[in-house]
Amino acid sequence: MYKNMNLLNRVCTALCVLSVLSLSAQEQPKKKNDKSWKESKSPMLQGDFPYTKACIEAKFPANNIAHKGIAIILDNDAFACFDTDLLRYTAGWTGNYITAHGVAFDGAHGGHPAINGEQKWGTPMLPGWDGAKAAFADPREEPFGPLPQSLGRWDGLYVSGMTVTLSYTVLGTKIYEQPSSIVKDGQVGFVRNFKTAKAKQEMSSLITQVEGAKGEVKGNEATLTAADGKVTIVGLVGAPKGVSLKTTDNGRVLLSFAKGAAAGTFKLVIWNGASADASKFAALTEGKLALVAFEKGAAPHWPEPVITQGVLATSQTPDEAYVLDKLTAPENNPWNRRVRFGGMDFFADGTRAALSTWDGDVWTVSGIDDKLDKLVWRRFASGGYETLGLKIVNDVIYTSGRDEITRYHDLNNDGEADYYENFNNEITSSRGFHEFTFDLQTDPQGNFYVVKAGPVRGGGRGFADVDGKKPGNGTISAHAGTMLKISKDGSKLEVFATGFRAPNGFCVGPQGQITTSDNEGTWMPTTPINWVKQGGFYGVEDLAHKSPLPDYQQPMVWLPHNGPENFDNSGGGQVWVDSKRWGPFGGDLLHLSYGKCRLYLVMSEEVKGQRQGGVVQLPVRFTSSAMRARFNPKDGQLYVAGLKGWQTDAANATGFDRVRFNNKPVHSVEKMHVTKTGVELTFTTELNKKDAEDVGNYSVKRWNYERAEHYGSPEFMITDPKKQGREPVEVKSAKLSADGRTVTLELADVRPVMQQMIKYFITAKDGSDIKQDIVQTINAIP
Amino acid sequence: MKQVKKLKQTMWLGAALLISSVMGLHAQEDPKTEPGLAVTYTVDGQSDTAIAQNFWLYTEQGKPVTPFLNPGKFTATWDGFISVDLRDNYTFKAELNGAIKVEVNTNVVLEASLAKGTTEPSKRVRLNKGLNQIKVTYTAPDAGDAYVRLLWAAPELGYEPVSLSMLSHDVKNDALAKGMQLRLGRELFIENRCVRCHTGPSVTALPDFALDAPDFKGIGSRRNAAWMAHWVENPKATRGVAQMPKMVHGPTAKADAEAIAAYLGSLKDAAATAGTDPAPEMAVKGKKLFESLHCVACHVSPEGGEADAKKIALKQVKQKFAPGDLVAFLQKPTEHYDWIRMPNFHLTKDEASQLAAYVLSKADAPLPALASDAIARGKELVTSVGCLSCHNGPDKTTFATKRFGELEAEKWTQGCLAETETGKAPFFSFTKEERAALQAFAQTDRTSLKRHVPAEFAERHSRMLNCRECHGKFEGFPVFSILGGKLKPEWAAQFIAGEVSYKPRPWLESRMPSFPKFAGEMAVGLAQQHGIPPKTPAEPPIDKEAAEIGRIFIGTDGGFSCIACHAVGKLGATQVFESAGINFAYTGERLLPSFFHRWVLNPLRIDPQTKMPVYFDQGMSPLTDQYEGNADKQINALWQYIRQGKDMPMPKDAQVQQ
Repeated sequence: MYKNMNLLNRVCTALCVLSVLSLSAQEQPKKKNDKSWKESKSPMLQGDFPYTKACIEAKFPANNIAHKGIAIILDNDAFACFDTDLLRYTAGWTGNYITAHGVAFDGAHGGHPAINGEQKWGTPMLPGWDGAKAAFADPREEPFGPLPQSLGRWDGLYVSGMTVTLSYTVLGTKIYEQPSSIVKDGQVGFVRNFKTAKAKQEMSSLITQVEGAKGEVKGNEATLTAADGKVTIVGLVGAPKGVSLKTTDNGRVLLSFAKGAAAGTFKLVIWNGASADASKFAALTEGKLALVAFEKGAAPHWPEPVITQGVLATSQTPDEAYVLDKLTAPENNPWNRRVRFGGMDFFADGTRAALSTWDGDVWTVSGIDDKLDKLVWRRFASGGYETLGLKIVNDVIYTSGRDEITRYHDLNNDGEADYYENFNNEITSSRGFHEFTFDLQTDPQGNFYVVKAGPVRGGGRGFADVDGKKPGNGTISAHAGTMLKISKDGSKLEVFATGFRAPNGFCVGPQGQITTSDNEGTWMPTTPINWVKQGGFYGVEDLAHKSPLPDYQQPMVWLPHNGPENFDNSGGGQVWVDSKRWGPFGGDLLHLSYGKCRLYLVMSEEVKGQRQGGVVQLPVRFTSSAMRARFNPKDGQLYVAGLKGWQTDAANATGFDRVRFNNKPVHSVEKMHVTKTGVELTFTTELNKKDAEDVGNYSVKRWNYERAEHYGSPEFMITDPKKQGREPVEVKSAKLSADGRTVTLELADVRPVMQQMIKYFITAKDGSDIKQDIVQTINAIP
Repeated sequence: MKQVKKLKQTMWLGAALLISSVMGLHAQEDPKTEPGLAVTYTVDGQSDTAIAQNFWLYTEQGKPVTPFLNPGKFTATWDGFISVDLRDNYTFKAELNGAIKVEVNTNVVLEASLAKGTTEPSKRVRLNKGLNQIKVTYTAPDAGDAYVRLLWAAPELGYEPVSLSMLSHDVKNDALAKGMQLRLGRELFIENRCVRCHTGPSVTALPDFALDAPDFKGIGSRRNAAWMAHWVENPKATRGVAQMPKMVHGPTAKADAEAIAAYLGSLKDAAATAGTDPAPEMAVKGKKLFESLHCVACHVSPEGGEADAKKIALKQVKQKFAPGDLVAFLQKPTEHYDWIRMPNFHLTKDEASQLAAYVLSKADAPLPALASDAIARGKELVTSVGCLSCHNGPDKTTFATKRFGELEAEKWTQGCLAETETGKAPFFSFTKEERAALQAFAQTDRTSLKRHVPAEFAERHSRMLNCRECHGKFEGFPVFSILGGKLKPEWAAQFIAGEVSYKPRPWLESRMPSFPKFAGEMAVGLAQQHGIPPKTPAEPPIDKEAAEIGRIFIGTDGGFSCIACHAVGKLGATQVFESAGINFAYTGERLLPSFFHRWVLNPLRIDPQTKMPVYFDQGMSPLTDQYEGNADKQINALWQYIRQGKDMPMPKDAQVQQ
């Protein structure tokens, strides 16, 4: 008896301490917009925008990852993560936001954000919705990519101040919901405010699951009591007819819609805590049933513009024919946002452009004119998942990210997006840090294209988490290392070509010609420029997605990553010169080097059905890397944007530059053709005959690469493929054409070779030096 | 002359490509060339010609420029060709103390006399595709150390050494042939330890007069007698590159060898306990170790690689080493042989055991035990035939022969240098060319044996030690030819000696072994080959203001993001992708400032395969906020930061990892 008394005493004391603690918590109630978590969060995360998209890991149940997660700030230091692949909330938590971990955040090569607080509830990695069966079995072929549209479709989201409205369709029934939170009596309730249409079919949603918990439903409250005594309560408030809560034997709470359940506005409140506090739940269900208005847009988030001044002529080509103008990026901005441009396009009038950043923002800039003296930047959108591509179609902005192609709608014409529409989210995305979705282009028919990198391992060699030790390296999912084609209306996505490693940029030409670059690494001996055809396989065997292994398509041209010429170790995008005001290269293809921050003219030809060509540098000095290029429809000049994110010669975090034709004679090679006996080079200007015909002014060397599983390739001799090195090719003669513009080089021999480098130092008729290095690939000889 | 020619080809350049005549503008007119430059040193009317890798030298005041000439004011004249792929215009300049004249294609392009300074750049010189004749004449100053480093620059690039692969000389050069023959003769004299028997020259005149041989004390506990008999009977038959001569001759050779072995076998180490060989299952890891340490640089692969007379086979290890002794030997090869060429890889006991297990697993069966018990006869032979001239042992030698000064030149065809075994003198199996070289050397006044020239020491021993078998051949190894112009000699000496406590490139599976006896002179010699002084000149105190800007530069925000690949002290590199860089805390003590500058300015000019980005273009930086984008000033700021060594403050935009 005494013993028991003693125990009781102790329990009492403990309870007293607990109540004192909870009292003190009550004495200092959390204020709305309390900054505590914001102060401790990483500067790479925004506290003044309602969400951040990323791959986000929750703490439970086991392996609970949102491959395409939206971490939403719910106020009251509460947060929830929505998974747009599975149309479910992965977790609700309190405390701090998410960890700023991963390549686009702290730069780590491996890993991604995780929830950074006390998780209160979660759902297993299963579809968030199901039909009458309510089994929530994953119908996907692999655990990546969205649910089949017949079950559910992610439609997009609306941003209204700090409120997000999620928009999706389940079994034909339209659903909007706004997550929020409520704090009363020291308890945090996670609130899902719904607005649903009349249910076309019977359906239910998996709201939360507590493994091993006992569930019971009393009226509009479903309670799960876990083995440890903790309680999860889900309350349904204002349910329309036919909508109810259920629990299952396996510890799930379901929100059930009968077929024909009425349309309505209602809410769910989710709470988790000690059983002693369960009585406080009821208070959390109070309040109005109304969604914050979202359909017509909201007041702007970032009303203040950022004004910068461009700098004209920061560098020029030796012949002064091209100069570089810098469009100063809004790196000093009131929101402390990093600016790292990954996508860029112009509006129809050419005085305005939109640029997306790796950090998920979209900026617009106006004032693009001759002087660039007042560039007016506005933040247009935010929160995207590594948006490294941007295209404007009919003055509507589209971006490509890891999760989807987003189409942006400024509903109230205030210069900011209000509705972030999912144009197509069929792309698969696993946890791999290296699964970049690069670039966004359209073909003449209006179809969209993106290209997705493979899940390269942290050290750069090989792919994916093969030994289960580094899940942050990801998995080879259906779209890893592929080019994807999306129909003009966004309804269909198909794999267009496979076998890419890290193709940071591509291009679709005016005739629908498609080119990509890639990046040296496993199965990629050096940087290629591929001439992409539908169904083609471009080299990385792990990412071929076909068995047996398809025929490998030789690239149009290889660019060496070794050597003092510093050509290209990491390709960027390409662009066709569809301008008549950009000097003599109209109709030609240009290539950008991300790694070496350079611009190249690509001189290509088709021989015996095979594309091949050579490249020569147009030497201007970019502000940062060279990744995305467009010609401005108004001034006809080339604009290039880039960022510093991984290995590059770029030192500045971002750059947006104009390569402007200076209306001076260009001194450069313009075309090249392989002949039976050598190479024919056509120049933009007449040449000095004596210098052009002196073989001492040319040097030709050649070598091969080994395409293999190792990282990149050394250079190997043609005559002794085991020996490293470049071999000279004798230039037997050089003949200048009658018009003085074409030199025909007779070589000791011509043969198919992966790399041939032609250097020359000749002079133009006007006396100017022409000193250039061409690298070419010979796939076929005419 | 075949041997001399071979020496010429392998000297200095290691793996450098032979200049192909196809590169020449007029192939048929081009002379036949070989890599390297011919350099003629002249002191007081006496000349000596050798091969030099570049237009560089450093000679301390009062020291000789070449072993073959007296110390004193000298001239050095380099003759040869620069081969360029394509015509272009270049400028030259020189850092020197003394006077220089540079002639390109017979035109004087640079002529200057300076007391410790750098000349103005020459005017632009056109070099044509193919071979361009170049002659550089340097005259030492009247006082002070003599040095010169010629540099050149292409129009868009910074000043740099002329690439070694571009330099060559005309093979038709009698003075050079003579100079190289004398070098070979001197080298054979030193390497074969002639001075150990033919005493006379001061044993301290040359550091490598100290070259020794395995100690006999306790050798019976370390080596199997049966194998020693086999070895002594004919060392060259066992190992093509053996330096030990054949000491037993005629019909009694086998019995004598066995007697010697019996005696040596009796020299037990009292403290030694019978060892056992490592467990055979350790061989799996040993094989990996054998590969990652690049043992094949000097050894034939136990898997049965291509036969290579220059490499040491490992088939006999079971016959040679007493059980367990191979492990001990691998752990400390110098324990009983100071100047052994086998370096110390600082293997742990486990690693040595694994390596031994692997090598033993592929070795031939042990020899039957030695039958001879003629220990007394063996002892008599060891003490009387001259073994103890090179080997230390418990006994005193009774052997005596002519002193060095008594060896008349015309008799250098007899005795040790006879074409065939005389039955008495040690037999070295010298080739005809080697004997000719020794004879030519004998004709000189032989004072070259009193002149130590560190550059010559470094050239010779780096060749003997097969440095270039790894450096320049395997991924991750810096090319050997740049090391003297890259590393501070003080640090290089410590590193070669195995005294640096850290591994500069911890990600490499391979590791730099140590060569403690060779280290000091090697480091100084390599530096002097590059025109670098043996002691790194003191720099002014660290410019704190510049160092603080350097600290910004290494970071991501406003910097070059160096920290993505380079660790900084305890801060690990943040984004290593394929290629890590060396921890900055080590850089300041390792690198010569001039090299650091050149490397950062354009690393691809030094290593065409490096992943290190090229940030600067024509002297300009992409970061224009500091020093108006001036590359030289920005690199100096980085250097001032780097100089702080392990005390360097962390970059501002990175947190120290726990």
